[in-house]
Amino acid sequence: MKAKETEDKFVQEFKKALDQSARDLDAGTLARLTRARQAALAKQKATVVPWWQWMKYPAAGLATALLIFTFVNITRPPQDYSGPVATLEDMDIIAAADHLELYADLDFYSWLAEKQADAG
Amino acid sequence: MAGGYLTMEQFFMSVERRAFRMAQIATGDSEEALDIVQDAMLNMVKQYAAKPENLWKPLFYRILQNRIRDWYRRMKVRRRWRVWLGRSADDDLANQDPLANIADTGAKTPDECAELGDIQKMLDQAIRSLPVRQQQAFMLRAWEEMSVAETARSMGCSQGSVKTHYSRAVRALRERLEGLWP
Repeated sequence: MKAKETEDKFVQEFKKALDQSARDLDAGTLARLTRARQAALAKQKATVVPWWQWMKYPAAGLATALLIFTFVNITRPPQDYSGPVATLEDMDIIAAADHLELYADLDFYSWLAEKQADAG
Repeated sequence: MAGGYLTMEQFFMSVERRAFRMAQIATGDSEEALDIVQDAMLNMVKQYAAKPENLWKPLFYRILQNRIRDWYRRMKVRRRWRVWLGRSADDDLANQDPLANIADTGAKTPDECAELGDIQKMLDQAIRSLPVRQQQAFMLRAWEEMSVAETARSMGCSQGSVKTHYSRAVRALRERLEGLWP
C-alpha cells in the first residue's frame, strides 16, 4: 500500500512538472502552434464533401418512402367491389362468340318465336 | 463550449501544448515536434472530424503517436545509411529496434542536471531515455490521464501491454530520478 502511495505521489509530481512545462512554452512556439491549428481548420473548411455524402440523406428519404408504400400495399386487405362480378355461368357467354350474337339479337328471336306460335 | 460540445478548434486548443511537449520530449527537437503536431492536426481533420467528439482524444493521440514512431523509423533508416556510408561505426545502435529499445545514451544523471539547475531538462531526458512504447504509455496514462482502454486504443495495442509498459516506465523513471522525488 505504501509503495502504491509513493508511486502515485511520484506520478503526481511528474505530472505537475509536465503541466508547468506546457504552460511555460515560449511565445514563438505558441504562435507556431496557433498557425498549425489554423492551417488544419482551414483544410477542414476547404474539404469538399463528396457527392455520395450529400446524396445520402435524400436517398435515405426516398428509400424509406418506397419501403412504406410497398409495406402498405402488401399488408392492406382487399377492398369490396360493388360492381358486376362475372360468375361461372356467365363464363360460357363471355367465352362463346356465337352466343354473344344470340344475346344481341334477343328481341328479334323473341318476335320470331311469337310469329311462329301465332302461325301454328 | 456551449452545451458541453467541443468544436474541433476548441479540442485542438485543449491538447496542442501537451501534444507538442510529447513530441518534443520524444524527438528532442522543437522543429520536428511542431511538424509532427501539425501533421497530426491535419490528419485528424481530414479523417476523423466527423467522428463523435468523445473519440477525438484517443484518435488524435493515436495519430500523434504514430507520427512519433514514424519519426523514430526514419531516424533508424538514416542511422543505417550513415553506417553504410561509413560516417559512423555505431553498428549496435543502428541494429537496435527503435520501437523497443531506443534510449538516449547521452542522457545526464539527475545530479548532473541538478547542477545545471534545470529540472525540466532532467525530466525530458529521463523520459527520452525510455523505449518509445514506455514513453507513450507513461505520457498518455500519467499526463493525459487516459484510462487503460483509451491508452490501448491510442497506442494500438492490448490493455495488458499498456499496463506492462506503464509499470516499467514508472519503475525506470523512479530509478533515474531517485533523490528528486520519492
